[in-house]
Formats: sequence, structure tokens, C-alpha cells
Amino acid sequence: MTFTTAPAALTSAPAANVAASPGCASYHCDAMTPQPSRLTIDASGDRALAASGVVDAHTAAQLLVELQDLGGGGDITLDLSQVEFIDSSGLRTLVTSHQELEADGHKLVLSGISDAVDRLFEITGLREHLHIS
Amino acid sequence: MNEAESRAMVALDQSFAGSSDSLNEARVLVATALEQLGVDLDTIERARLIVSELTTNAVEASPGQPFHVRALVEPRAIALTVRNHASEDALPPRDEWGPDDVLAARGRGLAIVKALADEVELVEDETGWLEVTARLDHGGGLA
Repeated sequence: MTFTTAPAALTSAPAANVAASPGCASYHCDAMTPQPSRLTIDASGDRALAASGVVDAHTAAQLLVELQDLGGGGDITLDLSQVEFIDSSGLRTLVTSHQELEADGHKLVLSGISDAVDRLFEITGLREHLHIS
Repeated sequence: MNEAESRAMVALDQSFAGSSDSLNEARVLVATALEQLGVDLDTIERARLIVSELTTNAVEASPGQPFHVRALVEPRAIALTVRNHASEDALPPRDEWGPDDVLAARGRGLAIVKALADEVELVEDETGWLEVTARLDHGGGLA
């Protein structure tokens, strides 16, 4: 049961978004002591958050809670420039928050999108639907 | 075992606890092992995302049950296999990999795997183990 596809390249991912840890130029650094995924979310304005780290199944709920805690009183800006990895679990959080804000007539505005994240938006067809600054 | 598999180098062959705590460890160990074997950065990044999607599916399909990750570097491809206790019925039919609605909350994981891999194979054995193997061509250009 096999099928083949034309694979999507991620070659445009800049090195800064690939290193496993800040200041580490190699995956070896985290492999020495692998830890569960880490995500840090800081308020960077009245209705602005900045995420750094990994958004996966282990951390995505944390991001959704932070976004929902801001409520639907206006647009929210989410800076993803320090997110070094995101997968479909992270995308689920972004889509959920996007839908909830749209229902209230507001927007989730994503900024600092890396080439790798942008490629993921393209693969999943989300690029045309999310608000990217 | 085919000829490519018989000439493969084992980058990683390891079991992990079936919780989301293990997802980062699996990704990091696969990426590190591939890097040490000279695999190019783009292939490693695709591998990292594929491993993330397949291991997340494994944890969600059988929470608390260990899953196994094997990464082989074949002469012209990387073979990433995630094995867990679940039936193939736990996955949607492959022509339905990906949500009908772009903005659906769930259902993107396998579509991402399909987009990033050159080949995907599913094998379910009679003991209830499901193996999903994704192959990524690296063109033989190991550093």
C-alpha cells in the first residue's frame, strides 16, 4: 500500500529557524538532554502576544488558552518570529483562534512568519485564509 | 527486506513513552542522528515535521501506549517509520488525508506527511501494530 507524491521542499527555511536551541547551531545541543517541548508566550502589547519555542501537541493548548484569555474585544497580533518549530497541532490552535475572533468580527494577525512556517501554510492551503502581516 | 533497506544505515531505532512529553525527544533524536550521518538540512527539516505528525498520531491513537521510531538512511532516501498499537482503521482513507474544509480544526497531519514525503506506506500486522513509513529522497547527496 504505497503511493508517491511530489514532495514539498522546505529549503528556504533560514538557519535561524532550524537550530534546536537559541545559540546552538546544531541539533546536537538538544539531543544531549532531550526535554519535552517548550513554549514561552509573552505579552508584547495591549492585544499582542509573542511566542517562542515549539508549538506542537504538547504546547498548542497553552497557546490557545493565552489567545482566548485576551478575549474577543478586538484584533490580536501574534508574533511567531521566535517559533522554531510548528506542526499541525500548532496550526489547529491558530485556526481555532482565527475562527473564534472572526466570529466576533475581529482578526488574528500573524507576524514574524518564517519561510518554514509560510511553507506549511502553503501546503495546508491556510495562507489564503489567515491574516499575515 | 529489499536491497535499499539491506544497505541502509540505522540512524535511530528507539521506543518512546506514549505521551506528548516524548514528541520533542523523538524529533530531536531523529534530526540529530540524520545530521550526524550527513543528511542535508532540507531533508532533515522535512523528516522532523513528518516524525512530529506521525508520532502525534500515534500518541493520540493509543494514549499511554509506547510508540517506536526507526530512521534508516538508505543510499538514496531516508525511511522514517513510526510503529504503534492501532489499526489502520484509526486513520482516514488516504484519499481523505486532509480536511475537506481548509479551516477545519483538525485533519492536517497526514496531508502534511503526504506533501513532504516522496512515498508513504502503511502496514498493519495481525498483532494490532500499525507501521507508517515515509520515504524522503535525498538524492544520494550525503555530506
